[in-house]
Amino acid sequence: MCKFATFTRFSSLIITASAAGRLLSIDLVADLTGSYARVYVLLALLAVSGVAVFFSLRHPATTWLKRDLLHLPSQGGLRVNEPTDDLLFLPIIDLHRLFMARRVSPVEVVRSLLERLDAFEPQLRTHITICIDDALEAARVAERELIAGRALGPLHGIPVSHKDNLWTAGVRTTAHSRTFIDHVPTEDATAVRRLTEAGMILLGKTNTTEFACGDMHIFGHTPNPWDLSRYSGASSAGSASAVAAGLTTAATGSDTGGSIRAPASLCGMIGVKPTYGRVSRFGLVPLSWSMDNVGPMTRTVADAALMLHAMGGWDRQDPTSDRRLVPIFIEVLTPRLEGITIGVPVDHFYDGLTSDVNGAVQEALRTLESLGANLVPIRLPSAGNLAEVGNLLVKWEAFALHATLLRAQAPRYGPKARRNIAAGAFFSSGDVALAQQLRTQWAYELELAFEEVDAIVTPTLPFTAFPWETWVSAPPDTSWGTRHFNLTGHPALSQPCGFDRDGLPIGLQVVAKRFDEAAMFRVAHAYEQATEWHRRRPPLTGPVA
Amino acid sequence: MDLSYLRAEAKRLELELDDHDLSIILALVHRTSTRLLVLRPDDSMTLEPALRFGVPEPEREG
Repeated sequence: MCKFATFTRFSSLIITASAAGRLLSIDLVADLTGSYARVYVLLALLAVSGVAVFFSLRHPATTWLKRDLLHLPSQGGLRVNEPTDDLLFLPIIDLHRLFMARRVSPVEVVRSLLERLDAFEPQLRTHITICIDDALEAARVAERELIAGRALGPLHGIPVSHKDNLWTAGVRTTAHSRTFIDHVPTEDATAVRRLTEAGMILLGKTNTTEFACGDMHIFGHTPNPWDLSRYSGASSAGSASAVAAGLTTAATGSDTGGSIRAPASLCGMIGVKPTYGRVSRFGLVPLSWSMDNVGPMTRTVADAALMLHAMGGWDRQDPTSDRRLVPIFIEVLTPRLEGITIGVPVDHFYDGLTSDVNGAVQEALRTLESLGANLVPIRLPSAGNLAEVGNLLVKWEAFALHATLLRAQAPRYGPKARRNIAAGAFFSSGDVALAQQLRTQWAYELELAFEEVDAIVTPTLPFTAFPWETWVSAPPDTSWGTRHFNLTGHPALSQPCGFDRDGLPIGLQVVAKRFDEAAMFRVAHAYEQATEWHRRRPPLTGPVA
Repeated sequence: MDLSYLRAEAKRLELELDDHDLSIILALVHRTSTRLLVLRPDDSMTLEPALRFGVPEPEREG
């Protein structure tokens, strides 16, 4: 009876903690430990060590209260920019250090970003909405908290821009569509809420293609900051361009066939598509139920690791979200890769590259090898057969999601989104079944490959940013190397690995096993620390007349 | 599948799509279906081997 009472008391405590933060149920602990008897032992240990420690396992803000990032170099070999670097281009970790040292205030950073947005937005159109007053007020609050020694963690006071297909309570969320033009959500998307709870400041909502599959026909298109006449990717182009151009510190995006990684590659920054199920899609204006993902877009791999830790985890409001604990990814980052085996596909991913992309990626492979990684060739024979599989399944699922709205408001959709989504209604059941079969076959092939390797490295795209006119007249396949991992749910990241002869960024894609983002971040971080590509800035010199 | 079929289907589905929309959709669906067909998995994953032996005549009753 006494044992039961103790158990019940601790159960209530844990469940209360869970309600305040994230999932941490007795059932989950039993799942993880194998039995309820072990749960009891665990709870007894908790009584000694303190429930606060247990709570901190789940809540990123609390977790980081006890971790001073200034100690990280000795743990992870992180290299930081000098504090004299332009505030607008500092990674999150560097800003956090300056905040903690009280050398810079969040107010100063937000003001600087707003000034730069004022100067460059007319050309770049990275944002649909900018939250000037709310961002400044949030920065003042963060400043007071930081001065009072109540830092929530490394994201506290850091500005972030969310893609305009993620709900933001009280802030218009249009998905760049006339059908949502006045839509003001009453609650945040889960990913948005979690980043806010970790202390991030909402700077604004970034430009996107309509419903992540159409045009940028209402608010204008987002040019590439490295060359304003070039394409910047879809559909998270606003987020990618804003981070690359120093118009925001970090951003979120959504990725259904490569919409985080392709713009990250074209704009020269980090874009992460997490494992399907890692980040809740609650509050994301959906495109494809089985392939949509929400992820971070940043200047460094460590920044993305920090954000994904805060965004991830089980969410009762998304039936596809996974119950696994989210690792503290930043703790596994090291400058060396001994013991890591990297697969280099023989099929598809290294075919048809421009000479500059091929040169940069081959050099990246040599760098990874020099860092201690073991590179092995792998066969993925279906990899070149997935363009139509992905196209069909996205359209098919998009129609299912949009059917009611499309029936009511088809003329209010832009032409491209209307046709792409409506097309999903006209595929035969035989075509859909065949596509699903090919998808399953590909997933099996990839799983077999991952029995031999820890990560796979490919170019993100076979080309660099092309002229905007090309996108309008004859768009190339911008999901060429990325849709593969939306079809299977594997985590994948794009990072800069060089520049072509025109000074345009080249992207390297790192893929890992499902729910092993830690391996993905480890490979990408070691590569980043050994190179300087992520430190380059677009040659924006001033407003264009 | 042709434009008139798509018109009828769009009407049945209560989708307000004009002929320009439908002709683009028709080309897109046709291209996707055609390319998918050539990607069919090998014989071991299909009924093709059975077809090599011929389709038996249906048994006649009486």
